[in-house]
Amino acid sequence: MQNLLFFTLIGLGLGALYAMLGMSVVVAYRGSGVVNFAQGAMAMYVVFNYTQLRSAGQIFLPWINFLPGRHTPVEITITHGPMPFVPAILMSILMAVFIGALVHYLVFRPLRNASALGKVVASVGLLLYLQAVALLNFGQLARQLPPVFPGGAWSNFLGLKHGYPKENLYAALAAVVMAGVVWALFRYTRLGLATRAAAENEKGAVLLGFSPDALAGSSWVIASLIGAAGGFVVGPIAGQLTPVAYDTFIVPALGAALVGMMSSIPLTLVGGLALGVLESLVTYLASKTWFPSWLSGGNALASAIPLLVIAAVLYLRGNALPTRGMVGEKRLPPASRPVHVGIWVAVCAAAALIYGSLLHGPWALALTTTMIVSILMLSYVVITGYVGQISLAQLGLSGVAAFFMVKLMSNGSAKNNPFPIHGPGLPMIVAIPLAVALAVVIGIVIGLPAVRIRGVQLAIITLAAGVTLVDLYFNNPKLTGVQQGSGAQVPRPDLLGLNLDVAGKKGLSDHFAFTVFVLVLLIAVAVMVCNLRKSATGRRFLAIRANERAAAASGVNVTRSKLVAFALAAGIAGLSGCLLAFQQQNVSSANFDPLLGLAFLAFAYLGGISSVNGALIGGFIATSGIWPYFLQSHFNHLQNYWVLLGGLGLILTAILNPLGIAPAVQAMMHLLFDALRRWRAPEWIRAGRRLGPPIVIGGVLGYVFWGRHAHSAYWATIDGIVLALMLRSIGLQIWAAWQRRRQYAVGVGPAVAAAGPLGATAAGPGVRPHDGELV
Amino acid sequence: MASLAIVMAACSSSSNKSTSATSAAGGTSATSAGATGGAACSSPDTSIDAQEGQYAGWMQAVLNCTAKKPVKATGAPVTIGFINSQGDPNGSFPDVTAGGQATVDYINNELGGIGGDPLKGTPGRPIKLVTCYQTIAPSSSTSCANQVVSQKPVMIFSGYQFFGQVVDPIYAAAGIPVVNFSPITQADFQGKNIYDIAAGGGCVGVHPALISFSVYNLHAKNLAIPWANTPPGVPCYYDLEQKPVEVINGSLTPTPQGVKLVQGLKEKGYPVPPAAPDLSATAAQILAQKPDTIIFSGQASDCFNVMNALANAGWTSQQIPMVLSGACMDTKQIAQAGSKVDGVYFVGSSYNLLDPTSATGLPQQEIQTINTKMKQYQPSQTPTGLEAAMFQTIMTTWLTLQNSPAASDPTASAIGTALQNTSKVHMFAGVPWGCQSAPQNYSSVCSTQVSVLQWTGSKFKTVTKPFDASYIVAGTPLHETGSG
Repeated sequence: MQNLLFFTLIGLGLGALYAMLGMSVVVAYRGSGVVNFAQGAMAMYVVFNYTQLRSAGQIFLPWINFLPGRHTPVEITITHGPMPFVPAILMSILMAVFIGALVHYLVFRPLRNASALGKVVASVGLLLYLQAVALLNFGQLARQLPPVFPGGAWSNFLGLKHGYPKENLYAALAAVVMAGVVWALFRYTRLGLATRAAAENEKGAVLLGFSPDALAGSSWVIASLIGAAGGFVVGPIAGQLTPVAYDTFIVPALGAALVGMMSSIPLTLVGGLALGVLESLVTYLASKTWFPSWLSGGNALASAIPLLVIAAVLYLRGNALPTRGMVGEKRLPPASRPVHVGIWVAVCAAAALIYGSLLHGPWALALTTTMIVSILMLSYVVITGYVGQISLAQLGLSGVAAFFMVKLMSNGSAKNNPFPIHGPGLPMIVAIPLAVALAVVIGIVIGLPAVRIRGVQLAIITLAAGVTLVDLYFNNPKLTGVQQGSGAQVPRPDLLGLNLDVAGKKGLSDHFAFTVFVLVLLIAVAVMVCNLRKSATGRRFLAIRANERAAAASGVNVTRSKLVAFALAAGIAGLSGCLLAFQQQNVSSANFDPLLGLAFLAFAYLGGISSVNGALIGGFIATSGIWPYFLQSHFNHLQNYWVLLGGLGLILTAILNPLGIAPAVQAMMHLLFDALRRWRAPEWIRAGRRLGPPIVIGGVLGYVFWGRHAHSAYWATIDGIVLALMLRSIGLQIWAAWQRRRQYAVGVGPAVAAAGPLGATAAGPGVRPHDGELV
Repeated sequence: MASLAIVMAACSSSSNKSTSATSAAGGTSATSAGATGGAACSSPDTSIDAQEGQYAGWMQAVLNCTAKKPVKATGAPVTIGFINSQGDPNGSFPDVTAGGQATVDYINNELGGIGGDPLKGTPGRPIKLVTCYQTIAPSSSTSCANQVVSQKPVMIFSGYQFFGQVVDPIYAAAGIPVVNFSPITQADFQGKNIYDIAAGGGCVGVHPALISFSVYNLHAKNLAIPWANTPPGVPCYYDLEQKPVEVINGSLTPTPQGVKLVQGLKEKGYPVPPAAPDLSATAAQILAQKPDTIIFSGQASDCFNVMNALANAGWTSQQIPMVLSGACMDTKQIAQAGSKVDGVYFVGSSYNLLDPTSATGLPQQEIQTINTKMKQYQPSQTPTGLEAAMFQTIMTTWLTLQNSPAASDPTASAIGTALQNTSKVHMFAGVPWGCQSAPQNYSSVCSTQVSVLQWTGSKFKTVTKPFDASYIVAGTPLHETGSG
């Protein structure tokens, strides 16, 4: 009993971190409606600056020296040598304010009326951007935060016969104080009341003269400050500071925020502390001999705690979870009815076959990666694009199928494998359907909460489910059979005597038979998803996406349809996992990292999450696909900047192209076909005038810069043309966006655009400047 | 469409085909000095070979000779792959790349490349590095392996590689030998045509030494072993920490030759998830065990997380000795951690490569060379232990190949054979190594020599001479993975 009490108390330190990050999530959500997955990264960047100030008296602004050969202001030396505590804290607070304001004005303000998924994508981009900037500015060396509170331990604390770290208790007290301050801020100040009002009813707040934009901006600043404070206070006990230091805390922090119903600061505090205490208790109990060994040494259960708490909260209070009201929120892109499916299949299949037969080695690998990821993206099309449910567990589900398939195909043979997995040795043609079936079952279980909740809340619980799958299953040798941490070695795929091994000649991953195998499955799944959209089931899905209540009123069984969608999506994701296993030949939990899943969702969104061709484009641009490989092979000197550019690209695309790339490609294709059918000489001449210069300039530059180093001068020229056309397209879109802003500025935009600080406006009739009250 | 140009694979991988070294970076007076040849130097003093390993005398003569008369490589380059983890916020090691680049530049510009005779001033062929940088993701590793193998290198230097089990089969199928900078996964320990010639053999060399030093030198009988609960950490604990304890206390038989039994020796393991927040609960459990010694091995940040948690719970190294692996030997981290590190032991590769005073004789001269050439060829890089270790790895490979048939016939098969047949060969700034004497079940681990250092508050003090503790597990069956 003494030990239980001790380990309860010792978990308060960790709980304090969860609580403070959770509070910052709640504040940002209340002010702007964004569930910010980058909240930990924002805190990380401020705390890095704090350590830099304390050690060298410098700060680094949140960008890099982006003008080669020029000195852009990034590093600012304030004192030559370590800065004392108080000025360093004050400078760090300023940095937190600066970052909060930047995040609002540059990222989320332009996305104010975007769909929830668009905001999720932008927050993922922000996460990657801040991580990359931290790595480039501060380096890889992990840093130890100087303690804010006195260190050391109370020996025999409360007579419990253990030394209790003083910092843990101080951190918990700091979290309580912080919660009190934030609660009072929202309870008693005008700003807080206005923010709460806007969170309840944003339209009402606008009518009362408050500017949601200004409220959101101040909320972002406050959220940034709270997160940074958590980093200062709890950082020393949270371990070494690295660019990815606080990322994994976002799941329990979101759990704490959900306990607080995404609105209550005191409940968020309680939730965070409770999560920390529970993790500590599990760590203690896992050391007991009676603790089930299949729970993987306690890690699995500890990882599952946020999921269990979130599930419990959702079960008990799911209907009460607030969905933040918005002045205007765009829906997901339209899911247009697929046409000319046969033609597209023939064209894409021919292109893939030509590509696969002509290009080998890493290019062939990039093709199969693109196709496998495209299948995964199709699962997002079904669950998110058609039904409107944000699931962040799809990659985890593909992992379930991959590990289970390997187990089913293994037979314990030690030939060429010192760590064999014992299993029934089923043939591939049996193992794949069974593995997919397991993914379907798990997918339905994960989808159960969707019956009661939707939107970002569902995203949070599915993210927690993905994290749990990693520790409960993928990293659990009792379930996977993986020995010695060696990963699960995948038996050679063999379909009725046909060798489908990915390894081709000379060991490269370019076996043409495997490429064709993946292509066939991709086509099958793509056609199935197209037909799904056209079927009665697809129409029910779209009805639910549009309005659940209306769908139910018109006779659609919402619960059943949602679970069918989760099952279908899980099955498709499972198939992609099986193919990924064959391609990699060895799978481990690293293949199915939940944060990687978050990135995949972002790419699915960018490709166009509501259409099959969007999924194909998503696979094309996603990690290790053809497009990234193309860029890497031509811009290898940018190797340290890929993550930064990726993050930046996600943010920009979410802002500039919220419908995804597919609609734009579709429009281009229509234009092209239309041109081929109808254009005559004058039209071609006009097009030549527009596109000719970039084509010529790009071709020449491509040949000059890459002609000697790329695979051939021919390819280099084409590369240059493609890039030049893309740059032209980007320029035109930025120009168009600027034009749109100008139109808003002259009064065409929504009413809120005219509102000043807290609703003050010079233009709005009946609104008094400066105080925002109606007169 | 617009964003295609800038939307890049987040957390994506690699970039490829940067070549280097034929024309050399660096740029010093030495670079231009020795175009092709000079007067012959004195012949090697082979009398030191018995102590420092085969070709030690030759290496010494080359260092002395080329310091005065550098020899620049000429002719058709020999293509060698270089893969490293870089540019990913989850783990980026540009200093390893810098070490590799500096070494190749040094070899090309001053040592005559591959196949020459620097003692006679005869130039050989320059090395052309085909580089690829990967992120910490299996797909990125696979992509990099394919990119480099498609360039047809004769061998590959692998920097930090966390997914050896994914890429090693690709190298094996292509028949390309791989020299690992730091073996991490089980595939690195047993892979075909994989050679781990430095860094103390990873946990195969270091972990039995952690146990050996704690038991035989510190006379501990009750060990607390927090261990990194990562895929590489699992076998390193179960097979190379828990098993040596079972061997030494006699519960695992037959006892390998030379092992001195210690009755009553026991251990308790505590899984530490990577980058775990707040290890207070784990620290409290460790201290409740009242261990004689605490042992930990993991990435540097985790080492100090464990140490901080223990210190916050009242631990000091004066009360309970702590023995850490060489991966924790990061002087910047130690400086940040402050006085709590005082008295902590570190088991790492044979010498401190940044401190010439940690060795004498030829190794000292070689450590000086490493530090001089790193500054010369990578002036923008602050020298680090990782950079020096990569320098050591490539130099050791080079001197081995130069004294083998592979020098005149640098093909993949010849290089593989040369590395495989090594026995008591001199290690640059290290102690002799050889793949012929690799421990059973760890056929790729060619060097398991380590030594113990102690942090005194301002510098490392050498506690033991280089020693090899892998004999404790030699020939024992691989442990099944337990929970975790």
